[in-house]
Amino acid sequence: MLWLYLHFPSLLLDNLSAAAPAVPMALAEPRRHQLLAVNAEAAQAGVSVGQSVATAVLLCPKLQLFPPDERRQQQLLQQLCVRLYQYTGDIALQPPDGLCIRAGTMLQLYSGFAAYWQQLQQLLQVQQCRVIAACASTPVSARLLARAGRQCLTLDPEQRLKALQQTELSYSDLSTEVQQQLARLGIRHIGQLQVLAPAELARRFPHEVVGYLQQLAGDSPRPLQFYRPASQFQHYLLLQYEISQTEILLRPVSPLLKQLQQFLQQRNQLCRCLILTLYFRQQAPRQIRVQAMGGEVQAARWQSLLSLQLEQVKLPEPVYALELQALQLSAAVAQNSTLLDDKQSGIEKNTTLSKVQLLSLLAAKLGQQVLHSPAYVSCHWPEQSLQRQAPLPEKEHNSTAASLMADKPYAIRPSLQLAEPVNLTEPIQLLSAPERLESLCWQSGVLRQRDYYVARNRQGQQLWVFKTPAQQWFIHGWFS
Amino acid sequence: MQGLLEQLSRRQLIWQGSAVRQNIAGWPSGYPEFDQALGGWPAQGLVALQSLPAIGELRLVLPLLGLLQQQGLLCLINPPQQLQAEPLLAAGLQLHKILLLSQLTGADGLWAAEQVLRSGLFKAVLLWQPCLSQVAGRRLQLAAEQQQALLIQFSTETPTLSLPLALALSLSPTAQGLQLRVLKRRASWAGLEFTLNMQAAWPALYPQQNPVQFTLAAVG
Repeated sequence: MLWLYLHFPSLLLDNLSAAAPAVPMALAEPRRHQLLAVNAEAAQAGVSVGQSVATAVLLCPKLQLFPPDERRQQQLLQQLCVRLYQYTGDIALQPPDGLCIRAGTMLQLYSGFAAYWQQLQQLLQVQQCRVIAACASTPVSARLLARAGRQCLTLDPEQRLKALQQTELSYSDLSTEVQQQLARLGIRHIGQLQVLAPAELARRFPHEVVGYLQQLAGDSPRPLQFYRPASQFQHYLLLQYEISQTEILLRPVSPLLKQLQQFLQQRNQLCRCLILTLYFRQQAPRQIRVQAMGGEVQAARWQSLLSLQLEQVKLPEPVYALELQALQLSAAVAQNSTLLDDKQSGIEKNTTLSKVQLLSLLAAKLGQQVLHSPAYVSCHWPEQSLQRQAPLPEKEHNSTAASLMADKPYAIRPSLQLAEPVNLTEPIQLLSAPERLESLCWQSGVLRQRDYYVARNRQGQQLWVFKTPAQQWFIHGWFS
Repeated sequence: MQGLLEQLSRRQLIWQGSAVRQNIAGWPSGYPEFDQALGGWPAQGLVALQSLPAIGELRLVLPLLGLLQQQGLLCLINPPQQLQAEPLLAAGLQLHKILLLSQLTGADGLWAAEQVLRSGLFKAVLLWQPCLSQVAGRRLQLAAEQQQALLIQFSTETPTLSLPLALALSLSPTAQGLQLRVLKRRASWAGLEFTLNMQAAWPALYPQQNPVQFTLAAVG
């Protein structure tokens, strides 16, 4: 199996320089005031890694210093992984600065390593970050080669082995104590270690050494956690400069929206809600919520929606970072229209949601308990004839409903029935002969009896009233 | 002059002939008097029916609903009482094509109506809502016209006539049916009054012989 390891020696700095080209930049350790990494412009000015901050600033007054931000670095690595995932399958994140890719499974697809690597290289070039790639037969050896700075992209096992043997131990994942211990014995390269008998190594050195050698050879592979595409979209952006005007705020957001569009398109999804979080130095972060009722993919539409929202926002202090989060993702529906459009209407009808989507949307906001379809049950007692069914079923729930209708004419029933009968308190005119309904309660043995009439009150409202044997009158329905 | 015209058109008080033509062709109502007087229901847009409850306001639209259901779904939002299936079946409606949303607040009802209209699946939405605000009315009208659907609002209050209504009717009961008065009609005049005979369709509710006068002893 062929493994490819991508080592990004200066991921954070490359990303910062890409956003502001031709500016000398460096990462500085905040406590020891030492430079950890410098970009090309800074190096030209004579600034180098390990210098103190004071020296560096004297050498290059325009130098911009940034603290090493682990969270940001992790995010960048993740983003690279997401990009690469479009072209290659199994990627394992190796924080803080590496990606381990199982290349062997992809060679068939790209018909050869050259085409495969070309594809990845194109993608990496767009990202404008320095990368050292190495391939080997095990993930650990690929990692070692790449970390040692050896760009090793040969498929010849002999050459790879040679390169590996010449690699210094200081780049390995062995602990520093073990490395020192080995260095004292004059063992500085992997090759020197490999020729020793494992049994002797196990006796004289911690078990770590043998374990590492086995991993290098692939005898006891270390399980890798491969990247799984995220189901959520969430991006954090540290701004190069603080923004205090909302109009300008849209500018850094638009690349994020483009990423969102890509994210959604790749998953064939729509997004209904975006949350833009603005981070301030002093105050608590502020969230701006943007809703698109029908769901939206296009970055341009989101931008116009967002700009409408941002117009109303007043920033209490400058924003130094922002975060974009997409909520309420749902599958996009293909818009099917008939081949021959409805000639009469002239305008083509656009169905934006499917039945299920609409129901889920309504249920999300209103709750499932308010959604129903009416149902018919063959039951003469009015209270029991009010039935509901699940909203918009595919077929008639009670298939006998239609057949029943053919058999008997429908009884006179009000279209709107009161949940509970209420006392009749006004004069009425009876419009129909009585209809006697009886119901025997099987538990108590009580016979309930009601004489129903169609009636009209003085306002002309048509009511469904009934009289009990005790001569009490109730209203039970409206003939709406 | 220009300003005045603009102001009037913004308040939906004037219409341009070209924009109105397509809205005139409507749905037959199932009542000869109605079709003769108004040429049927509007094809799309907002319709407001102002009436007391239980005088036949739903019966007035049942034939229309039967017609619309052949082309799409129906939605009933916030009916004031429990819906009985039997009269709907008797009118030839299919229950599985009716979405019933009940016990919503006013704002939720409007939101739901807009969503339902925008989905493009529904041909008619029946909304029981006391009154519509200018903004809500406009939104619903746009949604309804975009998807060529009808929104029928039932209310006991007189609708605000500056709303973009295609038709607003005031209904009052008579012994044989309904008395209809046009409050507003797009591309036509208000004030038209006519009666509708429902005796043929619902003989049980409008008996021929003199009804029995009945006064409750306790009340009368």
